Amino acid sequence: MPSLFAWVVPMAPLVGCIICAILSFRGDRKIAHFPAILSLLFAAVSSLCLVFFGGQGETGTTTYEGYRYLHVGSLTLDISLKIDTLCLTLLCVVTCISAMIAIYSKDYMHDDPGYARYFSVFCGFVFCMTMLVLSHNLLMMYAFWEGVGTCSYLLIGFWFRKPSAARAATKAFLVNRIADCGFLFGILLLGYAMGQVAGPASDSFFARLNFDNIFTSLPALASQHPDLLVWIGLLLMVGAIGKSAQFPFHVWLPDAMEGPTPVSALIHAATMVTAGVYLMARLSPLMEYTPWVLSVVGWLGGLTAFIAALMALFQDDLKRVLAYSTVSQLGYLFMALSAGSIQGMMVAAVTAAMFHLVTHAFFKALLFLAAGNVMHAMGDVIDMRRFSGLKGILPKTNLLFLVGAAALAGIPPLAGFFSKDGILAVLYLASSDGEYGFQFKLLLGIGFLTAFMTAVYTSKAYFRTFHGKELIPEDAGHHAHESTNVMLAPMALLAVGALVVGGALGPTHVLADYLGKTPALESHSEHHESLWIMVASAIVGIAGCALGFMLSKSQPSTHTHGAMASIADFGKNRLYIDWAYSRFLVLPLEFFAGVLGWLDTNLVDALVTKIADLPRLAGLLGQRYQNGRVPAYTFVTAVGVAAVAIWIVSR
Amino acid sequence: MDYLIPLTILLPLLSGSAIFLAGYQGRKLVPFGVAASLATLLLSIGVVYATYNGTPADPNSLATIAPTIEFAPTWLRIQLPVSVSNHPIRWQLQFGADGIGALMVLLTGIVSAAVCVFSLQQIRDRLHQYLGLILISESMLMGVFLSMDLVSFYLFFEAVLLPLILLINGWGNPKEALAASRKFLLFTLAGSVPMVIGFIGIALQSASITNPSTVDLEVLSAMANQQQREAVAGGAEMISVLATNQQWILWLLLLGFGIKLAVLPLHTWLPTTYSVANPNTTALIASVVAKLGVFGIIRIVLPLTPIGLASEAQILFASLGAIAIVYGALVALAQSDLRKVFAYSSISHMGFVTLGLMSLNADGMSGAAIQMFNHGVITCAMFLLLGMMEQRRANLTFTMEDLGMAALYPRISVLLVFFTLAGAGLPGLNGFVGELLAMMGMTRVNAAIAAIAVLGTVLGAWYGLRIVQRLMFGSDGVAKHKPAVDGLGDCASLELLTLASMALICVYIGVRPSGPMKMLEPDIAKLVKVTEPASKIMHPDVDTLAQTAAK
Repeated sequence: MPSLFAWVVPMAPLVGCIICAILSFRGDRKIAHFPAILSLLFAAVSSLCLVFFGGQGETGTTTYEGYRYLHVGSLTLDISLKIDTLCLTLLCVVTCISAMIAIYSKDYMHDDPGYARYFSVFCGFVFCMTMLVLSHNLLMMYAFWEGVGTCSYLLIGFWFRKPSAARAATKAFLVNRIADCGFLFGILLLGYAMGQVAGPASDSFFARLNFDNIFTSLPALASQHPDLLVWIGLLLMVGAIGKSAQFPFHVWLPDAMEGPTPVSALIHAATMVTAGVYLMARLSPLMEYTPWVLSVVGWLGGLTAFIAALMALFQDDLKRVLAYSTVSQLGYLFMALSAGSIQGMMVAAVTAAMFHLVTHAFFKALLFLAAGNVMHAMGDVIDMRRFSGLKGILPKTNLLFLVGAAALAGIPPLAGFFSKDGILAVLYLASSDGEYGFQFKLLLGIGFLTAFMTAVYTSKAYFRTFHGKELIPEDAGHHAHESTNVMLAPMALLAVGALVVGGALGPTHVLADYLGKTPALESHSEHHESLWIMVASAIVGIAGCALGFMLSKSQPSTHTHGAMASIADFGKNRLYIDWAYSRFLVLPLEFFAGVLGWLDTNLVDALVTKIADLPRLAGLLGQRYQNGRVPAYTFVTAVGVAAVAIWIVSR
Repeated sequence: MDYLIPLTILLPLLSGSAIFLAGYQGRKLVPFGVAASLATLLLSIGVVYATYNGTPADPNSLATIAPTIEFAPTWLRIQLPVSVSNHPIRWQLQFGADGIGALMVLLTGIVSAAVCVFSLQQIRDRLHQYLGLILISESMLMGVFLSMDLVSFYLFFEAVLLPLILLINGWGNPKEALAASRKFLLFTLAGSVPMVIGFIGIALQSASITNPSTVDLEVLSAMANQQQREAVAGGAEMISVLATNQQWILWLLLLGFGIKLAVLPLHTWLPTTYSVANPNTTALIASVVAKLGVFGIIRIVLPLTPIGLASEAQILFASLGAIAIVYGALVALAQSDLRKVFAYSSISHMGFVTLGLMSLNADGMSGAAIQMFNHGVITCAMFLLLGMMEQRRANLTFTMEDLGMAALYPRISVLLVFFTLAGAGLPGLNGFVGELLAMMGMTRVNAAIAAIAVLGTVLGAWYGLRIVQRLMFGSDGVAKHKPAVDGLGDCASLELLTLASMALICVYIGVRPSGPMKMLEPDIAKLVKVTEPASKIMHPDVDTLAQTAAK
């Protein structure tokens, strides 16, 4: 029975995707939501059934056989599903949230000419994402990793008539691809390294890249090729931080907001961007052997959390505030993961990261959908300078946004408070370690600072949008109205999640115990809590909200003097990182390409063509002597005869 | 069934010649030509089917090439007017198909049929002559892929140039066609002269063992295998003697095949030819003719001169392949002529094939073999799409911004996005399988070269998506619309059907590659028996599947 449920989870969205694709070719637009929502509900119910019936089996991990994809040389790859509690946790988040967002999309996308196309790619995304989560093999994971990236590309560029959307889609795909390069090369190197381990691994029927096989070979690998393993860990990490939009790959995510808002909620807040965290959690047994890589992860995560929060502070675009907030929160997750570099803390680190991942998925999806309501009512205007005081027009959205914002800001007792507190506690625990202690002291500081900034920008965005003088842009026309119940109902469910998930899963250790059933994450340490961190983070959250409220009162133009202005300028321009990339990476590369193109015609081709001219040149050389003048011929003949005669005589 | 192979070669040849020679009357034969190409496609499917179900060769035999189906009547015999040490030289010509050959036959069938169907819309004058020439070249290509001896291989390999020159010249850009076709001819002839010397060398060397000399590839490959085993048993000195014996032949062959393969820096005929010829013609050249070099290396270089290859050329050619991947992609980015972008992308993709071949292990070589087919399908579709786009928009270049053709031609744009992603190696589509295996094979030989190749996957996506973004997206298309040929809507249903079935092939191979791989597996397994030991001798640190070999 679990086998059936396991296969229904990815296959139902695939069927939905195919049906919607056929509908989009036939032009039947009005009914496309029906197969999509139905298939996603199927997937959600099946994944809940898997949790309920214990799909992970007795041993904590079960592989459900599929079919043999390829067996050539050193490569053996099956398409099979591996289920353990780690993957079930994310699986439920993905399927449930995607089902709710699909219901929301029914009305949100109602008048769009690409209605069926939207639902087709949407279901395709859920298919790829669930397969990614269920992968039992690193290469299979890579395949669906690219798959979600492609669906993201298609959805960011959904409104392809907009030049900005087309550019954002290309940018997102390429930035991801650069990181995936690292991922792919890491996989190739890992396959090579596995072949070097004596024993069954060098056999051709040994699936070198199955997670289980990797984990069993790790001790031998670590003792024989420690340097290679660090390289592999680093390269795999590059893939993870690319998909999760960490510095230096964070630039694609804010631009990805060009896509429809439900897509931003699903892909670019709740699910796809957490794939990097999932990859790191999945590979935590490998990462335990490469603490150095985890330390790098921590630095990058901390840096990203801070700079993204800084950029979020100064955005006027509501969706971009949320986008930078996502980047920042993902940085938080990576900070938590890096605590695994300390002996024996891997389980606590992964648990904290997964907990925040789950709660974040709920409240960030809720916030994005609320922003979608605002956009819907304001005639696609999302610039906070052009509207304010919307609580009269959008009373329900106001309430829902408030719940999400409070959860994000970490106000107790909402979900974000507990999970953020969990991460800070892990960082605090790690900071007492000798070797990496300093790093985690610093990261703890960044954690608190970022939590404060998060509260500031969240409350600032909330108060600017819903409070103050009522202001509606003319794009909204006269029909600025609250969204339909079809849109509000799934949001209400998400809001309930944002309210209770934190308290239900965190302090009760439900999630920690559940994750502990995964063989790699068996928890053998007691749970740590420190009251002062909890109190401090609550104070930071409330203080931040208060400051945000005050900032929202002041006009944006009032802080235009001194250091504040330059920081604001810096933040508005995304710290000039995008500018620097296009200036110092893209332009030189394009220039280099131009030079190569010029050389190709004017040097390589010219040279090869010159070689083709050689016979003609040789002919020209001989031509001088074929001049048809008898005296010259006679003279040459005479000289020749004389030379031969001299040679014969002198022999 | 016995006459399947000659029929596959002769049907397109006879029907093509008939149309071509019929002169003005040929104009009525256009439907007949298309039907002949479709019939050839069916025959090629028959070849694949027969190969798939044919009796597999004895796995213990020494021969590293063994056709599963054969056509070798005794009357196909050449007696040369010379004799070596009183033995008259008799060469038995024979045809046959193994998995790799059958797959290429199928590719030729698919591509030719697609080109014939598309030429109905694309070719505006002398359509019947065009169809005739396409059919004749198809026949020659079939001949190359089906020949099992050096002589017929060489004859068909050269003969294919003749109709191609006419195709480039007759239907290309009139201003530059003559120069371009001359360049194409000179380059390929410059390659084939050394190649034929190499062939003679192989035949002469064989005379010292089997008397009289032979051109039969099966016998020759068994001999090469035997020689290598004796040399390995005899120690380092014997190996170096064998390597020296093979080396001069090897370089001549590699020069010949390398030019066809457009290996750096001998690639410059390719962009010129592709940008001048009609995109419809280019579809045939890029997808099948450019594969002749790869096929030659698989068929002749790998089994007959493995030690020579491993001793010097392996790492050099692998590096050239990796550089070609990055170089081709970068140069493609800098072009303004859209056809040249596609041409350089072709160079870049062929780099993966070279990379796979030069890894000399099972992963890489099967990757290269399947990638030949995959790239053939993808690049054919890309050039056919390019031809359609050029008809719908005058003066199409790569530097245009926000053309927004997707709003006007949704079918074309969906297909373009699909094939672009397939070309960029998206998992689940066919391009991924070959590229992955090629890189995997190369990682086991030299990880640094593989790292360069991995970089190429980013650059490949860069120009591909840029084409989509600039030409397809960015506006509603109407304001910037300026058709080259009036009255054309979105792609017609016949064209849609053709491209959609090619897309289905891409999806099938991408989702379940073990099917087509099963065809290649026995052939690759035989090849590996000589190439992997050779590579291991010359580079002791490569990762070989030692335990499997011992079993």
